[in-house]
Amino acid sequence: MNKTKRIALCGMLTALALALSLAERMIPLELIVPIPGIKLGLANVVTMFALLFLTPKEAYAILFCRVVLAALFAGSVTQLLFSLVGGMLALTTTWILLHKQNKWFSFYGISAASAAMHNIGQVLAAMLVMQSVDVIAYLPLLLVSAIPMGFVTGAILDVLQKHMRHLKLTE
Amino acid sequence: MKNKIPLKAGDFVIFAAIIALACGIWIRLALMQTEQTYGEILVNGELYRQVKLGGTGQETITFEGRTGEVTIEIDGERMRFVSSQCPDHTCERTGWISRVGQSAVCLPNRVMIKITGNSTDGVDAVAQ
Repeated sequence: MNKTKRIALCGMLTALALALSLAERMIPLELIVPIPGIKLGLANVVTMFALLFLTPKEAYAILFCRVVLAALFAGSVTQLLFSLVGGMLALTTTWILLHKQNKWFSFYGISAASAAMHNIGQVLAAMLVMQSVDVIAYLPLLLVSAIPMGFVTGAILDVLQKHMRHLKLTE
Repeated sequence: MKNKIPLKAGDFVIFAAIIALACGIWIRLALMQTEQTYGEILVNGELYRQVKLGGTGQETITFEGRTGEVTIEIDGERMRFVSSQCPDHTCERTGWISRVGQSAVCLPNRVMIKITGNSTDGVDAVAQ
């Protein structure tokens, strides 16, 4: 794959991730889990996809652009910080675990671990910003919810990568 | 496409670790919340009465301060000045106090109420 195609693909994936992260705000998950700002993490599918089919460097770039743009479109500076810390932690975890994918872990487990690390990162950032340890009270529910969320994103990724291999998009 | 979810052994380790961490934090928080708090009434800087807070008990305490009658209400885990015979009534406007470190003062009457506990964890420890 030549350089131009790679850049175009990265841009497309960033746009897709941004659209997903904005669209999933409309799903009223707060009704089921009463935590402000809880979400499915659909945009994480895109970053995991980039890790699988592109390089880690490009995955980090896509994540960074998506988080900054999402905060610009609908969010605040504090939200940007939460997502950035959470996202980076999640992506790094995914990157490490993907080395053992198919051997030790499936996409479901990796997605759940990624979601959990995202939550931990977010809460850590919130603790720093608010200078308070009380935010940690949100963490148990967030962590438990990471498992079903991981199943959702894991299932999407599982189906997606089976079909994408045939498309030979990155060759 | 097969309907079966292809989980691997490592997945269960991840799920177990997440649940263990969630339970650990939850238990730790639950232990912190059962901490006993006390409502203290100080007159002229000396402890006049100490009341255990946290139950469902209601109590109204009335006594004579320096400039007049002071009434303090205790309701479950919170307390407040109901009325005080003083010029400014700042103490009444402070309202309910319930968290460790919070206080309300009636300066003319030299009466102070405050919440004490075993630890000073939480928001107030940082904010003060």
